[in-house]
Amino acid sequence: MQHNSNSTAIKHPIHINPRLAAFVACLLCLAAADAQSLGHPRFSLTLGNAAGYGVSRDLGTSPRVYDALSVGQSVAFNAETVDWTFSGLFAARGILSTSKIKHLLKNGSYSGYGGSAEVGIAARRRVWQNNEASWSIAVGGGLSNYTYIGYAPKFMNASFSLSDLFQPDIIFRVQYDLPNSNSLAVLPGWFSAYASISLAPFGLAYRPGFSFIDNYTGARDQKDYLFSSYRTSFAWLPHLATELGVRFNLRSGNRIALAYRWDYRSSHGSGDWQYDEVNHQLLLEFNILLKK
Amino acid sequence: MNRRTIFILIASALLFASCEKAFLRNPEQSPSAVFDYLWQRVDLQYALFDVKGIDWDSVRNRYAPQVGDDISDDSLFRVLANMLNSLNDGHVNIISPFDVSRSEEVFLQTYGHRNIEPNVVTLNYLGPHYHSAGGFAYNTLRGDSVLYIRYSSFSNSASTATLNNILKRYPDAAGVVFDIRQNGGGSVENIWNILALMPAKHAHLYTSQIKSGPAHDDFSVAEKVYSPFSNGDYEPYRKPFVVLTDRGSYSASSFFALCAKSYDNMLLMGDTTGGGLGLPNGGELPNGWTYRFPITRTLAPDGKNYENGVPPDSVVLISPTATAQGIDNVIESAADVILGSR
Repeated sequence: MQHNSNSTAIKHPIHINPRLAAFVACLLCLAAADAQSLGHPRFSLTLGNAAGYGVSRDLGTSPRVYDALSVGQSVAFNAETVDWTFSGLFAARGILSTSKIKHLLKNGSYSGYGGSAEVGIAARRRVWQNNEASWSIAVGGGLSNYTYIGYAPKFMNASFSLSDLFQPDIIFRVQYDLPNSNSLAVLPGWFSAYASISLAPFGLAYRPGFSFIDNYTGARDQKDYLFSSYRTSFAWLPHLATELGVRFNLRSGNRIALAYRWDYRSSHGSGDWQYDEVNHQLLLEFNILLKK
Repeated sequence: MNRRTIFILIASALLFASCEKAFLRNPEQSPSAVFDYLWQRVDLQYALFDVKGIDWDSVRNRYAPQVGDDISDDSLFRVLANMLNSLNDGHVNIISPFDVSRSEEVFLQTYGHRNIEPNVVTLNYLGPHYHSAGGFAYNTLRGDSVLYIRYSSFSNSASTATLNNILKRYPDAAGVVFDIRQNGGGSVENIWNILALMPAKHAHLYTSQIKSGPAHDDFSVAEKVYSPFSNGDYEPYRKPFVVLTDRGSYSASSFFALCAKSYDNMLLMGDTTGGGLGLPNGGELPNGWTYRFPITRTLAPDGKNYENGVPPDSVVLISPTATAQGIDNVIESAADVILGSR
């Protein structure tokens, strides 16, 4: 079987930690308080669509690297002031993996499906701005949980795998905005370009005691083992992403952004259980103003 | 902050996009690399070295010299298959595009120690007017006083409702002869479906452990498995339920036999099962071939490991003389026990 990447055979629940929710609420309150003295806060919803190509590997099931076609959807709620941006994000992506992409394009053959979901919150603060050139740098951080579930019917009747990463993200962003006459306005001019680097210096990785189910011989016991014999490890640099984009700020207050994103993720761990994934993605995002 | 610095930051963002080959590379696919990879996977995860008394290092020493980098795929497959054959395990296979390996010993014990003559059973015990429902073929013996059910594979559907309908059809039968000889296994789910009809009690059926570390004796915390309940939808079957087994009763059949030992109304008769109580797991080799082998071990409530076969409560071996007369003396012995218990 090719390493497991296959569509979600079993739904994995997404849990929102109430402590995290309270933390975000406090940050929003701080931002609101900050905004009262610095101008109007901007609340928006970002809808993202992504399509990309990448490679993935699931050690413990296969040492081979597989091409992956991926599509993704994301939803983020944002609260912005002049200096702060807070976001809550949910993103889901599906992957078709095959030994060679040309086989997929030729006759629709594939080796497996994978599905992943990510939930995260982030906060960025502008730390420097040159009012004349409208350059700014922002630093920030966030917490996210990434879960990958793979299913490959081709592999010995069936194969199933799961990887989960919980990690803090550090975000650096450089942005150029066409100048706006109102230096205190949240909205910049009609055009922005940006580059960002997001990295998670460490993360908590979770993998079950095995990454493959031969569902022909015993589903009940192995389902039990999936959640009772898991292993966790402390992974260094589980996530690194870079993004280059341009954003058009519309007169209505909405925004459209087009970006290229390179994304690398690894659960690390011992040699026989490691999940790696690299993606090149084109992103199209619509940022919808909710309240100004 | 000048533009040069900002340019460097942007260039850094682009730099990583070209580095993925450093992060993910295909493994070496030479025959020796494939051999080493498979040997190591088994060494790390196979759960049954101790109970089978296998020196895996010596197996490597025996077969590694046979692998040269100019070896053909066919020859490599043969070497890998022979190496895995050392495990004497029916749940161990290597699968290539042109062949699937199997255990020589399990094959010989299954077909060489068969404790059933299928033609005798089909002609004289099921007969031309046998009944079938789901995965069960059945008929009555001794003037409808004994119900005979042939279940030839746990891959065949064995729903609780279907079996209950069969049992309810013969309320005056004194008991059931449940024949799983030469049943090579299948879905363990069917075990629970059948046992759901047996008298409910919180019986400890077996304990299972999964390989959890690199050492041969690294196992997880033991997971106890208890008897299922039928949630009240069905009347429990309390009459004698005699299960016939032989060396061809493998995997799920062995699990079923092991579970049967915990039920008061169930009796194992015939020959020792073939074993195969480890649950298989597997993966892919660097060259794309796949493999599987057990990564769990199963222990009886008394702590014994019946990986090499679950012994019957009553040993009854098939008689060539009886077979020549069209009689299956194992079935007849089971019927005698059922009727003698009235």
